Amino acid sequence: MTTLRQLAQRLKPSPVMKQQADLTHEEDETLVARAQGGDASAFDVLVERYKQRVYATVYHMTGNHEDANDLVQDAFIKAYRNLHSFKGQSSFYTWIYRIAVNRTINFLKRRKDRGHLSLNDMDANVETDPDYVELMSHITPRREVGLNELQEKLNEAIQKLSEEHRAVVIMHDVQGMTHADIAKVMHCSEGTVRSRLFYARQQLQGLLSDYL
Amino acid sequence: MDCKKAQRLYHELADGQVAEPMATALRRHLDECSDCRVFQQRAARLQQLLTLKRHEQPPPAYFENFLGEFHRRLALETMRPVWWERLFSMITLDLPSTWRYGLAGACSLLLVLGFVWKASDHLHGGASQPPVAAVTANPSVATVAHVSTVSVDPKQAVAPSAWRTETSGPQYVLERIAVTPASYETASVRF
Repeated sequence: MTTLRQLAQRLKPSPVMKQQADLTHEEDETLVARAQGGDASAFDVLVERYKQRVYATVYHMTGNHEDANDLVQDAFIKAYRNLHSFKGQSSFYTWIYRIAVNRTINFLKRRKDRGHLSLNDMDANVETDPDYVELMSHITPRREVGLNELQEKLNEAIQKLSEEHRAVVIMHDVQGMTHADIAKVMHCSEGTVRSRLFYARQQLQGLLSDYL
Repeated sequence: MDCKKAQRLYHELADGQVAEPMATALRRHLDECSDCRVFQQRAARLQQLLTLKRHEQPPPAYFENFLGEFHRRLALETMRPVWWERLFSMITLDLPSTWRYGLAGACSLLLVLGFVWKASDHLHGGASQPPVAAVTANPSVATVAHVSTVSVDPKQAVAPSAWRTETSGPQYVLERIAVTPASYETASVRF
Protein backbone atom coordinates (compact mmCIF):
# COMPACT_ATOMS: atom_id res chain seq x y z
CA MET A 1 0.00 0.00 0.00
CA THR A 2 1.38 3.32 -1.00
CA THR A 3 1.85 5.65 1.89
CA LEU A 4 1.43 9.40 1.67
CA ARG A 5 5.19 9.87 2.03
CA GLN A 6 5.89 7.53 -0.90
CA LEU A 7 3.35 9.40 -3.01
CA ALA A 8 4.96 12.73 -2.13
CA GLN A 9 8.36 11.27 -2.98
CA ARG A 10 7.07 10.20 -6.38
CA LEU A 11 5.56 13.60 -7.11
CA LYS A 12 8.73 15.39 -6.09
CA PRO A 13 10.42 16.86 -9.20
CA SER A 14 13.45 14.95 -10.36
CA PRO A 15 16.85 16.72 -10.42
CA VAL A 16 16.66 16.89 -14.23
CA MET A 17 13.25 18.58 -14.13
CA LYS A 18 14.49 20.97 -11.46
CA GLN A 19 17.55 21.85 -13.52
CA GLN A 20 15.39 22.45 -16.58
CA ALA A 21 13.08 24.70 -14.59
CA ASP A 22 16.10 26.72 -13.48
CA LEU A 23 17.18 27.19 -17.07
CA THR A 24 13.86 28.50 -18.37
CA HIS A 25 14.77 32.06 -17.42
CA GLU A 26 18.14 31.97 -19.12
CA GLU A 27 18.88 33.92 -22.31
CA ASP A 28 19.13 32.08 -25.64
CA GLU A 29 22.88 32.74 -25.85
CA THR A 30 23.49 31.13 -22.45
CA LEU A 31 21.37 28.13 -23.33
CA VAL A 32 23.11 27.68 -26.66
CA ALA A 33 26.52 27.87 -24.99
CA ARG A 34 25.46 25.29 -22.40
CA ALA A 35 24.00 23.01 -25.07
CA GLN A 36 27.21 23.31 -27.09
CA GLY A 37 29.06 22.28 -23.95
CA GLY A 38 26.99 19.08 -23.78
CA ASP A 39 24.08 20.13 -21.56
CA ALA A 40 21.14 18.54 -23.38
CA SER A 41 18.58 19.98 -20.96
CA ALA A 42 19.56 23.50 -22.11
CA PHE A 43 18.59 22.57 -25.66
CA ASP A 44 15.30 21.15 -24.32
CA VAL A 45 14.50 24.61 -22.96
CA LEU A 46 15.15 26.11 -26.41
CA VAL A 47 12.86 23.52 -27.98
CA GLU A 48 10.13 24.34 -25.48
CA ARG A 49 10.62 28.06 -26.07
CA TYR A 50 10.32 28.05 -29.85
CA LYS A 51 8.31 24.94 -30.76
CA GLN A 52 4.95 26.70 -31.00
CA ARG A 53 6.17 29.66 -33.03
CA VAL A 54 8.14 27.52 -35.46
CA TYR A 55 5.24 25.10 -35.71
CA ALA A 56 2.80 27.94 -36.49
CA THR A 57 4.94 29.19 -39.39
CA VAL A 58 5.50 25.73 -40.84
CA TYR A 59 1.86 24.78 -40.36
CA HIS A 60 0.64 27.88 -42.23
CA MET A 61 3.07 27.12 -45.03
CA THR A 62 2.07 23.47 -45.44
CA GLY A 63 -1.57 23.73 -44.35
CA ASN A 64 -1.20 20.32 -42.76
CA HIS A 65 -0.70 19.13 -39.17
CA GLU A 66 1.29 15.97 -39.79
CA ASP A 67 3.70 17.54 -42.25
CA ALA A 68 4.20 20.53 -39.97
CA ASN A 69 4.93 18.30 -36.99
CA ASP A 70 7.45 16.20 -38.92
CA LEU A 71 9.19 19.24 -40.38
CA VAL A 72 9.47 21.03 -37.04
CA GLN A 73 10.83 17.90 -35.34
CA ASP A 74 13.35 17.50 -38.18
CA ALA A 75 14.36 21.14 -37.90
CA PHE A 76 15.09 20.83 -34.17
CA ILE A 77 17.01 17.59 -34.71
CA LYS A 78 19.09 19.20 -37.45
CA ALA A 79 19.71 22.22 -35.22
CA TYR A 80 20.83 19.96 -32.36
CA ARG A 81 23.17 17.95 -34.55
CA ASN A 82 24.69 21.08 -36.08
CA LEU A 83 24.87 23.08 -32.89
CA HIS A 84 28.67 23.07 -33.06
CA SER A 85 28.48 25.07 -36.31
CA PHE A 86 26.29 27.79 -34.77
CA LYS A 87 28.65 30.69 -34.21
CA GLY A 88 26.14 33.12 -32.77
CA GLN A 89 26.35 35.56 -35.69
CA SER A 90 22.54 35.60 -35.73
CA SER A 91 20.13 34.85 -32.92
CA PHE A 92 19.14 31.25 -32.22
CA TYR A 93 15.59 32.25 -33.07
CA THR A 94 16.61 33.38 -36.58
CA TRP A 95 18.76 30.28 -37.01
CA ILE A 96 16.09 27.76 -36.08
CA TYR A 97 13.59 29.64 -38.23
CA ARG A 98 15.97 29.50 -41.17
CA ILE A 99 16.40 25.75 -40.80
CA ALA A 100 12.66 25.15 -40.47
CA VAL A 101 11.65 27.47 -43.34
CA ASN A 102 14.31 26.09 -45.70
CA ARG A 103 13.29 22.52 -44.94
CA THR A 104 9.65 23.43 -45.49
CA ILE A 105 10.36 25.17 -48.79
CA ASN A 106 12.35 22.13 -50.01
CA PHE A 107 9.59 19.82 -48.84
CA LEU A 108 6.92 21.84 -50.64
CA LYS A 109 8.97 21.92 -53.84
CA ARG A 110 9.37 18.15 -53.75
CA ARG A 111 5.71 17.58 -52.99
CA LYS A 112 4.00 17.36 -56.36
CA ASP A 113 0.40 17.86 -55.30
CA ARG A 114 -0.73 20.36 -52.71
CA GLY A 115 -1.62 17.58 -50.29
CA HIS A 116 -4.68 17.73 -48.12
CA LEU A 117 -5.34 20.65 -45.84
CA SER A 118 -5.95 19.73 -42.21
CA LEU A 119 -6.85 23.05 -40.74
CA ASN A 120 -6.82 24.01 -37.11
CA ASP A 121 -9.88 25.61 -35.59
CA MET A 122 -9.85 29.17 -34.37
CA ASP A 123 -9.35 29.47 -30.66
CA ALA A 124 -12.00 31.03 -28.41
CA ASN A 125 -10.14 34.35 -28.17
CA VAL A 126 -10.74 35.19 -31.80
CA GLU A 127 -14.12 36.82 -31.13
CA THR A 128 -12.57 39.38 -28.80
CA ASP A 129 -9.80 40.26 -31.24
CA PRO A 130 -10.22 43.88 -32.49
CA ASP A 131 -9.28 42.74 -36.00
CA TYR A 132 -12.12 40.22 -35.93
CA VAL A 133 -14.64 42.77 -34.66
CA GLU A 134 -13.63 45.31 -37.31
CA LEU A 135 -13.53 42.76 -40.09
CA MET A 136 -16.97 41.40 -39.28
CA SER A 137 -18.53 44.85 -38.93
CA HIS A 138 -17.18 46.25 -42.19
CA ILE A 139 -17.01 43.24 -44.43
CA THR A 140 -19.32 43.45 -47.41
CA PRO A 141 -18.53 40.37 -49.42
CA ARG A 142 -20.30 39.57 -52.64
CA ARG A 143 -21.05 36.21 -51.08
CA GLU A 144 -22.28 35.79 -47.54
CA VAL A 145 -19.66 33.73 -45.73
CA GLY A 146 -18.74 33.07 -42.13
CA LEU A 147 -15.28 33.54 -40.69
CA ASN A 148 -14.45 29.84 -40.88
CA GLU A 149 -15.28 29.66 -44.57
CA LEU A 150 -13.35 32.86 -45.13
CA GLN A 151 -10.33 31.34 -43.38
CA GLU A 152 -10.67 28.23 -45.49
CA LYS A 153 -10.68 30.31 -48.68
CA LEU A 154 -7.69 32.25 -47.41
CA ASN A 155 -5.78 29.04 -46.67
CA GLU A 156 -6.53 27.72 -50.14
CA ALA A 157 -5.34 31.00 -51.64
CA ILE A 158 -2.14 30.91 -49.57
CA GLN A 159 -1.40 27.42 -50.86
CA LYS A 160 -1.51 28.82 -54.42
CA LEU A 161 1.38 31.18 -53.74
CA SER A 162 4.93 30.14 -54.53
CA GLU A 163 6.89 28.72 -51.56
CA GLU A 164 9.02 31.85 -51.15
CA HIS A 165 6.06 34.26 -51.35
CA ARG A 166 4.10 32.10 -48.95
CA ALA A 167 6.92 32.06 -46.43
CA VAL A 168 7.30 35.84 -46.53
CA VAL A 169 3.60 36.65 -46.18
CA ILE A 170 3.21 34.20 -43.29
CA MET A 171 6.27 35.38 -41.41
CA HIS A 172 5.29 39.04 -41.81
CA ASP A 173 1.50 39.21 -41.80
CA VAL A 174 0.70 36.21 -39.62
CA GLN A 175 3.72 35.92 -37.35
CA GLY A 176 4.46 39.63 -37.20
CA MET A 177 8.17 39.34 -37.94
CA THR A 178 10.09 42.39 -39.18
CA HIS A 179 11.45 42.78 -42.70
CA ALA A 180 14.99 42.61 -41.32
CA ASP A 181 14.39 39.32 -39.50
CA ILE A 182 12.69 37.79 -42.54
CA ALA A 183 15.62 38.88 -44.70
CA LYS A 184 17.99 37.08 -42.34
CA VAL A 185 15.85 33.94 -42.35
CA MET A 186 15.43 33.91 -46.12
CA HIS A 187 19.03 34.95 -46.87
CA CYS A 188 17.94 37.85 -49.07
CA SER A 189 17.75 41.65 -48.93
CA GLU A 190 15.01 43.60 -47.21
CA GLY A 191 14.08 45.00 -50.62
CA THR A 192 13.43 41.46 -51.85
CA VAL A 193 11.28 40.79 -48.79
CA ARG A 194 9.21 43.94 -49.48
CA SER A 195 8.84 43.06 -53.12
CA ARG A 196 7.75 39.48 -52.37
CA LEU A 197 5.34 40.74 -49.75
CA PHE A 198 3.73 43.17 -52.16
CA TYR A 199 3.40 40.55 -54.88
CA ALA A 200 1.99 37.94 -52.47
CA ARG A 201 -0.61 40.32 -51.07
CA GLN A 202 -1.61 41.41 -54.55
CA GLN A 203 -2.09 37.78 -55.56
CA LEU A 204 -4.10 37.02 -52.43
CA GLN A 205 -6.32 40.05 -53.03
CA GLY A 206 -6.95 38.83 -56.56
CA LEU A 207 -7.73 35.28 -55.45
CA LEU A 208 -10.07 36.47 -52.69
CA SER A 209 -11.69 39.31 -54.60
CA ASP A 210 -15.15 37.77 -54.16
CA TYR A 211 -14.79 37.58 -50.41
CA LEU A 212 -13.15 40.86 -49.45
CA MET B 1 1.18 60.52 -57.32
CA ASP B 2 -0.06 57.82 -59.68
CA CYS B 3 -2.35 54.99 -58.56
CA LYS B 4 0.21 52.22 -59.18
CA LYS B 5 2.75 53.82 -56.91
CA ALA B 6 0.08 54.63 -54.31
CA GLN B 7 -1.12 51.02 -54.24
CA ARG B 8 2.41 49.75 -53.88
CA LEU B 9 3.13 52.17 -51.08
CA TYR B 10 -0.14 51.56 -49.27
CA HIS B 11 1.15 48.37 -47.66
CA GLU B 12 4.29 50.17 -46.59
CA LEU B 13 2.13 52.91 -45.09
CA ALA B 14 0.10 50.33 -43.16
CA ASP B 15 3.39 48.88 -41.86
CA GLY B 16 4.53 52.37 -40.80
CA GLN B 17 7.42 52.25 -43.24
CA VAL B 18 6.64 55.39 -45.30
CA ALA B 19 8.33 58.55 -44.11
CA GLU B 20 7.02 62.11 -44.37
CA PRO B 21 6.25 63.95 -46.66
CA MET B 22 5.54 60.85 -48.79
CA ALA B 23 3.06 59.58 -46.20
CA THR B 24 1.01 62.80 -46.34
CA ALA B 25 1.03 62.77 -50.15
CA LEU B 26 -0.15 59.18 -50.11
CA ARG B 27 -2.98 59.89 -47.66
CA ARG B 28 -4.06 62.82 -49.79
CA HIS B 29 -4.12 60.61 -52.87
CA LEU B 30 -6.21 58.01 -51.07
CA ASP B 31 -8.72 60.73 -50.07
CA GLU B 32 -9.02 61.86 -53.65
CA CYS B 33 -8.94 58.57 -55.59
CA SER B 34 -11.92 56.26 -55.19
CA ASP B 35 -10.21 53.31 -56.95
CA CYS B 36 -7.30 53.46 -54.55
CA ARG B 37 -9.68 53.73 -51.61
CA VAL B 38 -11.39 50.51 -52.68
CA PHE B 39 -7.94 48.90 -53.02
CA GLN B 40 -6.98 50.18 -49.60
CA GLN B 41 -10.14 48.80 -47.97
CA ARG B 42 -9.63 45.38 -49.54
CA ALA B 43 -5.99 45.34 -48.55
CA ALA B 44 -6.95 46.25 -44.98
CA ARG B 45 -9.48 43.38 -44.83
CA LEU B 46 -6.92 40.96 -46.19
CA GLN B 47 -4.48 42.17 -43.57
CA GLN B 48 -7.04 41.59 -40.80
CA LEU B 49 -7.86 38.16 -42.14
CA LEU B 50 -4.19 37.22 -42.19
CA THR B 51 -3.68 38.56 -38.68
CA LEU B 52 -6.58 36.43 -37.43
CA LYS B 53 -4.72 33.33 -38.58
CA ARG B 54 -2.75 33.65 -35.36
CA HIS B 55 -5.82 32.26 -33.62
CA GLU B 56 -5.68 29.09 -35.68
CA GLN B 57 -4.28 26.74 -33.09
CA PRO B 58 -3.79 23.00 -32.85
CA PRO B 59 -5.73 21.09 -30.16
CA PRO B 60 -4.69 22.09 -26.59
CA ALA B 61 -2.74 18.89 -25.84
CA TYR B 62 -0.92 18.97 -29.16
CA PHE B 63 2.47 20.05 -27.81
CA GLU B 64 2.36 18.03 -24.59
CA ASN B 65 4.56 15.25 -25.89
CA PHE B 66 6.57 17.33 -28.34
CA LEU B 67 9.80 17.13 -26.34
CA GLY B 68 9.40 13.40 -25.73
CA GLU B 69 8.86 12.87 -29.44
CA PHE B 70 11.93 15.00 -30.16
CA HIS B 71 14.07 12.80 -27.90
CA ARG B 72 12.67 9.64 -29.43
CA ARG B 73 13.42 10.82 -32.97
CA LEU B 74 16.86 12.09 -31.96
CA ALA B 75 17.73 8.69 -30.49
CA LEU B 76 16.54 6.96 -33.67
CA GLU B 77 18.52 9.40 -35.79
CA THR B 78 21.65 8.79 -33.75
CA MET B 79 21.30 5.03 -34.05
CA ARG B 80 20.64 5.15 -37.79
CA PRO B 81 23.78 4.11 -39.67
CA VAL B 82 25.38 6.48 -42.17
CA TRP B 83 25.16 5.72 -45.91
CA TRP B 84 28.36 3.70 -46.21
CA GLU B 85 27.40 1.61 -43.18
CA ARG B 86 24.01 0.93 -44.77
CA LEU B 87 25.68 0.00 -48.06
CA PHE B 88 28.11 -2.31 -46.30
CA SER B 89 25.40 -4.02 -44.30
CA MET B 90 23.33 -4.43 -47.47
CA ILE B 91 26.24 -6.18 -49.19
CA THR B 92 27.16 -8.38 -46.28
CA LEU B 93 23.88 -9.16 -44.60
CA ASP B 94 20.66 -8.31 -46.35
CA LEU B 95 21.23 -9.78 -49.78
CA PRO B 96 20.62 -13.49 -50.51
CA SER B 97 23.81 -15.56 -50.76
CA THR B 98 23.56 -15.95 -54.57
CA TRP B 99 23.39 -12.15 -54.93
CA ARG B 100 26.33 -11.74 -52.62
CA TYR B 101 28.46 -14.20 -54.64
CA GLY B 102 27.36 -12.55 -57.86
CA LEU B 103 28.19 -9.09 -56.57
CA ALA B 104 31.57 -10.27 -55.25
CA GLY B 105 32.30 -11.95 -58.62
CA ALA B 106 31.37 -8.82 -60.55
CA CYS B 107 33.61 -6.70 -58.34
CA SER B 108 36.52 -9.15 -58.80
CA LEU B 109 36.00 -9.21 -62.58
CA LEU B 110 36.03 -5.42 -62.66
CA LEU B 111 39.26 -5.39 -60.67
CA VAL B 112 40.92 -7.94 -63.00
CA LEU B 113 39.76 -6.08 -66.12
CA GLY B 114 41.07 -2.85 -64.71
CA PHE B 115 44.41 -4.46 -63.96
CA VAL B 116 44.66 -6.04 -67.44
CA TRP B 117 43.78 -2.79 -69.16
CA LYS B 118 46.34 -0.89 -67.14
CA ALA B 119 49.02 -3.53 -67.79
CA SER B 120 48.39 -3.64 -71.57
CA ASP B 121 48.53 0.15 -71.72
CA HIS B 122 51.89 0.03 -69.99
CA LEU B 123 53.27 -2.72 -72.30
CA HIS B 124 52.30 -0.95 -75.53
CA GLY B 125 54.11 2.10 -74.28
CA GLY B 126 51.54 4.62 -75.20
CA ALA B 127 50.19 2.86 -78.32
CA SER B 128 46.87 4.15 -77.29
CA GLN B 129 48.21 7.70 -77.45
CA PRO B 130 46.93 9.80 -80.33
CA PRO B 131 49.06 9.76 -83.52
CA VAL B 132 52.04 12.07 -83.70
CA ALA B 133 51.05 15.48 -84.93
CA ALA B 134 53.09 16.97 -87.75
CA VAL B 135 53.58 20.70 -87.79
CA THR B 136 54.33 22.31 -91.13
CA ALA B 137 57.45 24.37 -91.06
CA ASN B 138 56.11 27.12 -93.25
CA PRO B 139 57.40 30.49 -92.04
CA SER B 140 54.48 32.37 -93.59
CA VAL B 141 52.09 30.65 -91.26
CA ALA B 142 54.33 30.70 -88.28
CA THR B 143 51.66 31.99 -85.99
CA VAL B 144 49.15 29.33 -86.89
CA ALA B 145 50.10 25.74 -86.36
CA HIS B 146 48.65 23.44 -89.02
CA VAL B 147 48.27 20.13 -87.40
CA SER B 148 47.55 17.08 -89.48
CA THR B 149 47.33 13.56 -88.27
CA VAL B 150 49.29 10.88 -90.09
CA SER B 151 48.14 7.32 -90.18
CA VAL B 152 51.11 5.12 -89.50
CA ASP B 153 51.57 1.65 -90.99
CA PRO B 154 53.66 -0.38 -88.57
CA LYS B 155 55.63 -1.97 -91.52
CA GLN B 156 56.45 1.41 -93.05
CA ALA B 157 57.53 2.76 -89.74
CA VAL B 158 60.42 0.31 -89.56
CA ALA B 159 63.43 0.72 -91.90
CA PRO B 160 63.50 -1.84 -94.78
CA SER B 161 66.97 -2.91 -93.73
CA ALA B 162 65.52 -4.38 -90.63
CA TRP B 163 63.00 -6.51 -92.50
CA ARG B 164 63.47 -10.19 -92.34
CA THR B 165 62.27 -12.47 -95.08
CA GLU B 166 62.01 -16.23 -95.28
CA THR B 167 65.02 -16.54 -97.64
CA SER B 168 67.47 -14.12 -96.22
CA GLY B 169 68.80 -13.61 -92.80
CA PRO B 170 68.30 -10.38 -90.95
CA GLN B 171 69.83 -7.25 -92.43
CA TYR B 172 71.13 -4.47 -90.30
CA VAL B 173 71.35 -0.79 -90.88
CA LEU B 174 75.17 -0.64 -90.74
CA GLU B 175 75.53 -3.17 -93.57
CA ARG B 176 73.91 -0.75 -96.03
CA ILE B 177 75.84 2.33 -95.03
CA ALA B 178 78.45 3.19 -97.66
CA VAL B 179 80.69 5.28 -95.53
CA THR B 180 83.15 3.66 -93.25
CA PRO B 181 82.32 4.00 -89.66
CA ALA B 182 84.63 6.31 -87.76
CA SER B 183 85.69 3.50 -85.52
CA TYR B 184 87.18 1.50 -88.46
CA GLU B 185 90.80 2.63 -88.87
CA THR B 186 92.32 2.36 -92.37
CA ALA B 187 95.51 0.39 -92.93
CA SER B 188 97.26 3.52 -94.29
CA VAL B 189 97.47 5.03 -90.92
CA ARG B 190 100.83 4.54 -89.51
CA PHE B 191 102.28 5.42 -86.18
